[in-house]
Amino acid sequence: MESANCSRENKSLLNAEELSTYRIAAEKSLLQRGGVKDYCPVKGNLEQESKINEFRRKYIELIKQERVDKKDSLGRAEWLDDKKLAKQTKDVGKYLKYFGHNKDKEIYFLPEEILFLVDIGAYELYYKDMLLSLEECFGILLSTEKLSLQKYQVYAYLIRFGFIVRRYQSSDQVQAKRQSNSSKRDANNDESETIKKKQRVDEMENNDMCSESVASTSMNVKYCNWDYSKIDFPDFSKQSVISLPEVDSKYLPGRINMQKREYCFPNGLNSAKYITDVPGCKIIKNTASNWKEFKEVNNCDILEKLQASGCGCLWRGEVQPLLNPAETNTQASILKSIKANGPSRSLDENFTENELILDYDVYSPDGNFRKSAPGRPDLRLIVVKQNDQVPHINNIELLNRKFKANVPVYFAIVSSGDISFVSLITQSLPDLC
Amino acid sequence: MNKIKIRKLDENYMVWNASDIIELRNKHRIVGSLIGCLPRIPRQNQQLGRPLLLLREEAALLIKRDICQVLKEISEPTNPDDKEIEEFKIKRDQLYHEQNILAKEDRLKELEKLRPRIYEGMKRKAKKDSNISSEKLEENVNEKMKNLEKRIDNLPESAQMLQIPTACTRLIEAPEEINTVAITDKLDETKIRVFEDLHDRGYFLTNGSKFGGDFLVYPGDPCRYHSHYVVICLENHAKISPQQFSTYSRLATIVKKTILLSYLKDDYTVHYISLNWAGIS
Repeated sequence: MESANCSRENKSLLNAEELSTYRIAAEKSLLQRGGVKDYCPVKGNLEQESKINEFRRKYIELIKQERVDKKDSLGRAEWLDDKKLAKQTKDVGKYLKYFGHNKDKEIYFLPEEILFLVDIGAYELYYKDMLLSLEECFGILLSTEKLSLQKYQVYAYLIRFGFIVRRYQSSDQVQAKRQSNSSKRDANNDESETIKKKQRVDEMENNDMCSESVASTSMNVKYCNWDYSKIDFPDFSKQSVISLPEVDSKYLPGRINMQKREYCFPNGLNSAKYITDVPGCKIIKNTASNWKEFKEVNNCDILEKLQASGCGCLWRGEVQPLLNPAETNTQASILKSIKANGPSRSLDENFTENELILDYDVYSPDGNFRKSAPGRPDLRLIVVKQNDQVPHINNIELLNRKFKANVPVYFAIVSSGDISFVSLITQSLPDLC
Repeated sequence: MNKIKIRKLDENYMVWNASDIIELRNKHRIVGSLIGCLPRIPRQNQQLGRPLLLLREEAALLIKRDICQVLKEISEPTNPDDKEIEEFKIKRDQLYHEQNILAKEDRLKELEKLRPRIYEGMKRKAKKDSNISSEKLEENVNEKMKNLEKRIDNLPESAQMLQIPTACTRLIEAPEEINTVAITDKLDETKIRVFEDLHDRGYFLTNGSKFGGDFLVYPGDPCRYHSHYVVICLENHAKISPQQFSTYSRLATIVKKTILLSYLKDDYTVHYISLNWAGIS
């Protein structure tokens, strides 16, 4: 162990020999995770000791690894502290597909982007001609606004898995960007097939956003308060000839000609067959001793009627109508069964807290991703620390409303080195009876 | 003696030097968690590399025991002076030249390995002329080798290997006077005390969020042994419902570990209660 103290003296910079043999002396295997472990240490157990020593030897080797690459394949960027962005000064191509953005013919990286590129040993970051170590990069870049160590941990974790992670963009931002893009495209006038395809996806997303706004406006439906007892409905049932008053032609579409104004029903309107034949619509004549019995008999009757009528075939196949007239006979139950008024909760009146801020858009690595038209993300993330307050239920509700049936929102909970993902969904449980 | 160096970033404490990390684990039983990319295999999450992120409780213990030194936060870039930049450039040039020499030596060694084949080739050729002595042949081979050696090129500048240093080699002075981590509340204090107590008993401790607790307690290095306990810290006089007990005991049964409910008494001694689900049916 005495070597630990001696070697602590700044051994972090490699010498020329270590640099030139870097590729040859590669320890490429990883530490074994999990597997069979022992219950507890036994003194003098040589097998245990040798296994621990083997682990430690490997651990030391892994910890000591440094970031080294050929000058040719290393990108270079300059940190602009006033803009809080990194400007690329040497390009190596392959990283620009997922990282960086163009502005005035220059390529800029966001702090987390350049930090990750330094972390994987792809770019050198300079500040005023001085190379920054990863340690300095962590300090400087993670102290910028909108970033924290926890956010970077989640960001890097997902990219290491292969996901494409971008900062969250609200639909307004996307729209603005798209407009500027499309104007550019018009100027260039060379639309490739893929761009069109992406646009279509974007439009779809747009529609989603629209439906979101519709959903939110239709929340406050006004019920009409007509008093039906005071409205006089004419009773034609006993009459055999019905004459309708002439309709002013200005209320009719041009092609319709209202000539005939008299309808004859020799046996009165009641006999008109089509009325009583509507399935499920029936005057109940059964008798029952209690409500349960009454409902059962009633349902049976309706079902029988259904089966007998031409509509019966609708309920025979695998795909059936959403509504079963036997079960849904009130307005409320119809709305419930077609889930018209969803599981949304009403918000507290005196709710003042800030909205939850989304951190990242995550795209799965399918190869179709384009920086200029990223389209709809596969999921969105909010990064929270372990000790953060649980988000207010109203915030979650707002979130659910905003992204209804669109993109799932996940919470990434960071607890020291562990990251776990949780999604909060307002549930609508199926009714079993 | 050199102290272990810890860099602060907000309320996070990180260790950057490889030897410090190894010493922490082997000597002080402090595990922490690695959060950087592993330089040689960066795009995976199975094994990460430096820096090592410490738990707050770990940092508190190290500070209290005077094992470490907390370095000043780097939150803004420091302007390098001209001398520093000059030194950096000279260092890089020097490394390039040394690499060049090494590369040439390597080529020479490879060439030397080819010598017998060159000799054979020339011998075969000489047979046709048939009147060349073996000395003359040797001479010819030497001359040929020299010509080849002259043709060894310099290592192209673009092919030199460069290092992006992980740990900072400057700004290591200016230690901050920090006596303890910022303690926010009573529960925070309890956690720090409980960690210290268990650590002093010889256990290894890691973050317990995976198992719904504050710490996991291992009898030896976590690489080799299963954890025995899940520690849940409670404030003294905390109110716990029987349902909570039920939850804890169910958790313990599922993960096959013992739940330790730990709390500080008013005299600051740490006490533990374990839960055992009595399966009477």
